[in-house]
Amino acid sequence: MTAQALEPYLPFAATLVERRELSPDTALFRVAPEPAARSALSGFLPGQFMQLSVPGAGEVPISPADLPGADGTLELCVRRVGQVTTLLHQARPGQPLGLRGPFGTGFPVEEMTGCPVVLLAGGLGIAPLRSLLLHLVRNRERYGEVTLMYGAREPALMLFREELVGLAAAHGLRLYLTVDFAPEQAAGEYACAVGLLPDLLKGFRFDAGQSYTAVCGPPPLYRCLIGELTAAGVAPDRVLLSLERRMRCGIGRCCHCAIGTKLCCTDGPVFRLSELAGIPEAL
Amino acid sequence: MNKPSLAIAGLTACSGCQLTLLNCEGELQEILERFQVAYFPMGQSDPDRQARYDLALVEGAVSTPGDLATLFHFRNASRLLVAFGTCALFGGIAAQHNRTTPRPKLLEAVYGNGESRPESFPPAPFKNFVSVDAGITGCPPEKGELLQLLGAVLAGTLPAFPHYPVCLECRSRETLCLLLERNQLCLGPVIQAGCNARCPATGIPCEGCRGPVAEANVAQELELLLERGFSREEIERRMSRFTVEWDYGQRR
Amino acid sequence: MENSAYLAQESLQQFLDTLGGFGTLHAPTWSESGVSLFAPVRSLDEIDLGYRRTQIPPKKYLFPFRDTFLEYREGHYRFPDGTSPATVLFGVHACDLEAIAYLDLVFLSEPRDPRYAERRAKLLLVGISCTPDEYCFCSEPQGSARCDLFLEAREGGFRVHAGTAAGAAMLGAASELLQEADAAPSGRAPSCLIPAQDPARAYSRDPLWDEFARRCVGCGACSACCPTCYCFDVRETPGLSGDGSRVREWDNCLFPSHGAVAGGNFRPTRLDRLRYRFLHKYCGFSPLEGRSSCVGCGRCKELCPVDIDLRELVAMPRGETEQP
Repeated sequence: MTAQALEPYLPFAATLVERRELSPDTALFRVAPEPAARSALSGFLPGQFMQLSVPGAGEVPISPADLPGADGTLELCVRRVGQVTTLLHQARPGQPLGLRGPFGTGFPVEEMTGCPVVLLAGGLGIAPLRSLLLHLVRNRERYGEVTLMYGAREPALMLFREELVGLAAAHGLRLYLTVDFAPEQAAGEYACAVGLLPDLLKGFRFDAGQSYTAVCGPPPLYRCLIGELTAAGVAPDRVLLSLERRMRCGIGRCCHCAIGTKLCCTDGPVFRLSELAGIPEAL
Repeated sequence: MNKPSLAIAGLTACSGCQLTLLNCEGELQEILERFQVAYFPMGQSDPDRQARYDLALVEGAVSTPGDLATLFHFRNASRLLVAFGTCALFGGIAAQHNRTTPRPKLLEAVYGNGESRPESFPPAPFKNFVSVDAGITGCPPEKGELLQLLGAVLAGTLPAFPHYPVCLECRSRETLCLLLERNQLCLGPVIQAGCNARCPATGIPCEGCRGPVAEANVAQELELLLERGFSREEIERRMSRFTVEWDYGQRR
Repeated sequence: MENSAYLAQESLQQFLDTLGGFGTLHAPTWSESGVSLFAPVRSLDEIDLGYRRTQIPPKKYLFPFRDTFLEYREGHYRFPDGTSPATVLFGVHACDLEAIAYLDLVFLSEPRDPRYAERRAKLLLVGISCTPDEYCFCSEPQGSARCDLFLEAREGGFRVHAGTAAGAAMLGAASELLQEADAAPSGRAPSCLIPAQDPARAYSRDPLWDEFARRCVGCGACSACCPTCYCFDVRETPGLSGDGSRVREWDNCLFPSHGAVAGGNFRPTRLDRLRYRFLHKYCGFSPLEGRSSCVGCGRCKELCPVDIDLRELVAMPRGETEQP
């Protein structure tokens, strides 16, 4: 039994191994959990989240950008936005951190086998979807056609662009990158289109009856995308939404992350659209 | 590791906030071990005004050209500028008559009709002139919150003070509700907590020394107090004592 | 030893002395300023047997307002040292007992809350029958099985009933003070819980929602004083030495900060927050969906400075409560 399995309230020790800048305010942090905690991470599903502690500032929920590596390390894609993330951005390799988790539901990757998958990411929403994408790529033969549509505000804020382009070429993914604002030639340089994700989706032809779609992005994005997906004929139980709320405890106690009578930390953060029917505030 | 340098200074104020630091008797030695106190005229004989500071705690309202120059100096010289106390955050006691009494009348009341009046303007909080990195409210501030701020700065962050009204702490410590049970003019519902309901716990209604809580339902508090028989003038006088800039129509 | 016995009023002081052997005795009493509260007592004359409701419910013994629940040293987190003392909480009404049973469901389900579990294991509950007043909206139960021992008022004394082994042990220790119990318990002992409501009610267009949202001053009294409100916030407090602690503290869903994240708020208006309160209280959050947590104690109604009573939105006649 690991420390984590014993005490979900107690962060296990972890160490910052390295960081890689992805954009002016976002970096990818590689974090190594203490060896005793690694087994707790073995069943990790794409879409689940961890509670990351930065001693002194507190805790934030983060959906890792990949499944734990063979050495147990986690990749956390974090934007500098509050006190905890700001302190993390100041941290140097070797900095002691804390981790709790994994928590919540992940994407139903077993159920999705054999089906085409369309991933729709807006902004930092690429982080949990990258974890799903890498899972699909590593098990490429088990899934149908894989499409990623990823929209960022501007070219400089597009995360993992080169990696995504490489993955698409190597594994036959359909990749659509788009930015809200950019001079035409700049967009060309970055190999992405100018336009909004919902507009891109509007002209997209796919097997709506069979496909699973996974959406993650800033709150306003969901409504627009769901309108398009529903119109295209995707069944509500195949529209998978990774939602963000204020998840404090991660285990359904503190009650800050309620969505209707569901709790984002235990019933989510990945919900099916069908589960959110009748909850006006969900999206 | 270099110790962060600390400046403690005051504008138009009573120096009570600065005194809070000296009141941390049990922790003073540790504070001196962890910080290099570079500028603290109230507790130091040779303050060094030329230095750059990691952290400046500045108290008081901005009310004279000298205040403004001092404020700009500390803003420019400091990595973190903290509005230290209610005057710095909300104008405080010195600003309480800003809305009700013309300035010449106030000056006359204080300085008489003599010629030698220092140049001054209506006292105002820091936010009217500069951006601040953090605030510690209170008249005077709570020692515990000052220590939390110092600890957070040492950890490389800023403190997470709660943002709820006095009533929560007041109820939690099982104090008699002076507003409902004694019909007293208590401002608890619209005032920032953190004092652990210091006054109501000793039978004194909250006078609002910690300033407005975020998104206070000011209009309802006003209505509530009017219903309980207080006059609008009395209510506004009480509410203005520490914070003059209330929006009495605010319901958000 | 039978699980039920009769205790004459004259023996109550000695009975309390016996209970004191099981832990520090706490009971309803009055503060200096005149607030009804549970606090340590030495003798019967300090106890207010006929109290209506304490301002703060017994949850404070299990889940204190502010609680250091983690410490960190050199960047590593650990649980703080220290255990809680054994406590006998005497004179708890059926509604508050029902509330503790609800909190048990929340905090003792897997994964157990270690701080709560530790305190709960040290808390013995002695219930007492009550006389509802105009603020109560319970089913007026005369008994409760949600405690170790329950004292039901009878002519000249109490019918004492043990609901747990610990309660039976207390009865055993006090056997010399007890007489044979009379017949079965008089009153029915239904659950105090108000019936669960349809979540759709939370999104109704009833103008009362807007009226409540206009009026609510967001003082937090309703949830601080609610025996089943348990939302908590967590704050890290670094110390001067580089070590620090993590504190949890009661939160209130009517505070703007409750739904706030860096850069936004998921419940930006008071109306959003009131609907949330309704959902949590009367509809239940997962995994307790479909379960109300309102026990009818009347605290929120009595203590709200602007007379908000969310039950008006469900138009529930007095006394209509959930049958067990």
